[in-house]
Amino acid sequence: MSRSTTPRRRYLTLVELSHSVGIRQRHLVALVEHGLVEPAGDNPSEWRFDEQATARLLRALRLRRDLRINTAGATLALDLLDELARLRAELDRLRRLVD
Amino acid sequence: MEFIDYYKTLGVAEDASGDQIKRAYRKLARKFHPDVSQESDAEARFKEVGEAYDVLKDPEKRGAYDELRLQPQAGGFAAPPGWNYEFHSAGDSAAFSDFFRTFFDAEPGPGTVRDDPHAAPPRDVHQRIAITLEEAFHGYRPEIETRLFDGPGTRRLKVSIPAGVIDGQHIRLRGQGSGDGSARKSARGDLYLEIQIAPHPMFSTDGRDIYVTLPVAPWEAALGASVRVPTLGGPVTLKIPAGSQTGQHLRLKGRGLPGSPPGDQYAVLNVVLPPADTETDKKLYREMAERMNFDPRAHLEGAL
Repeated sequence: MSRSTTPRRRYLTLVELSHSVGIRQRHLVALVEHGLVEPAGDNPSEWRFDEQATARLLRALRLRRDLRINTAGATLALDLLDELARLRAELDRLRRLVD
Repeated sequence: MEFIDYYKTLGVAEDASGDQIKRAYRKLARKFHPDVSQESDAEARFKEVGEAYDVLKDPEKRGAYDELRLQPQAGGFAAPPGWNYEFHSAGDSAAFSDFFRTFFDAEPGPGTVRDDPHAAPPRDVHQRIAITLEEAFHGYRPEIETRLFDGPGTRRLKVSIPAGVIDGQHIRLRGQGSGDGSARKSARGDLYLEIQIAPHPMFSTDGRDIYVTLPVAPWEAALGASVRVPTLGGPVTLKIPAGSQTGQHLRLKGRGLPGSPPGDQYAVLNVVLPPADTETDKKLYREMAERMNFDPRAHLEGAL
């Protein structure tokens, strides 16, 4: 079935994620406190971010920069966009059922 | 070189005020932001709008641009004699048009050598790649073209996309970003590929789960049946329980995209009525109508 030979680790730590999106760890901690991304684990040293976190953070940082909105606004926009994507997928499935 | 009408790009009049220009820009930026927009050319439009605003928001640049507009434009566009404005633009001007780079940007263009190659720090590069659902399922090794920030042109690169990637996932390729001017791989940033899975004619996805609409005959749904179902890994046999209805989801565990745990496939039942074209068919329907005690509108009774 799967052709990849090595099992891939599917999460990132605080250090890895902050490096991967190019922001300081302190900044990432603040974004987590806003609820922009929600890691598993209790304190920052134990945080585990899932594979969607990188994409979500980068989108939020671009929206903030390009549209001059704050972190709360970007978080809201991403939540609504996720909901929109979910509804579009659901609509797509229902359309296929009807056609 | 094409002359670019920045007023047209922003949809404002030539005598628009700074406020009008700002409002027009912000509205279009929201509309075409690649992270928000569904338009297929959103990224290109967003850049065009950003370029137009970069020029028109700055009174000095706007004045220079208005002068350029007065030049005759037959047969391409060239710099008027004596053009020596030097502007520095913030941000990533490599994404802007030739027109912009020629007139409004003092950054060295493609093919020029930087005075100090160590000035550019290693940088992570983000890029999108569209793949098919089959490629996501089996894994994929495409050759991609990636833009160089630290040199002219592009570079071709063989990348490995593991089996089981999902829509929106980022793949990190260490040391494949742009460099600091030296050849050392350690001095390079990383390349991030954002996976976009193209719509599939048969399957739809939700993360690692796959959905397929499965048409069934009324007797298969009513009496139960074993039917063949397509999955990304090849056809499998699915048991439809007696008394199934349209819209019911039947799970094929582990038949979605690979991973730990792998996704599931759902067959969404769609009961299809056979047409009553022949006299024999009509007779069967009439017989059902007479002999089956079935009222599909029983629950509406109070309102009828």
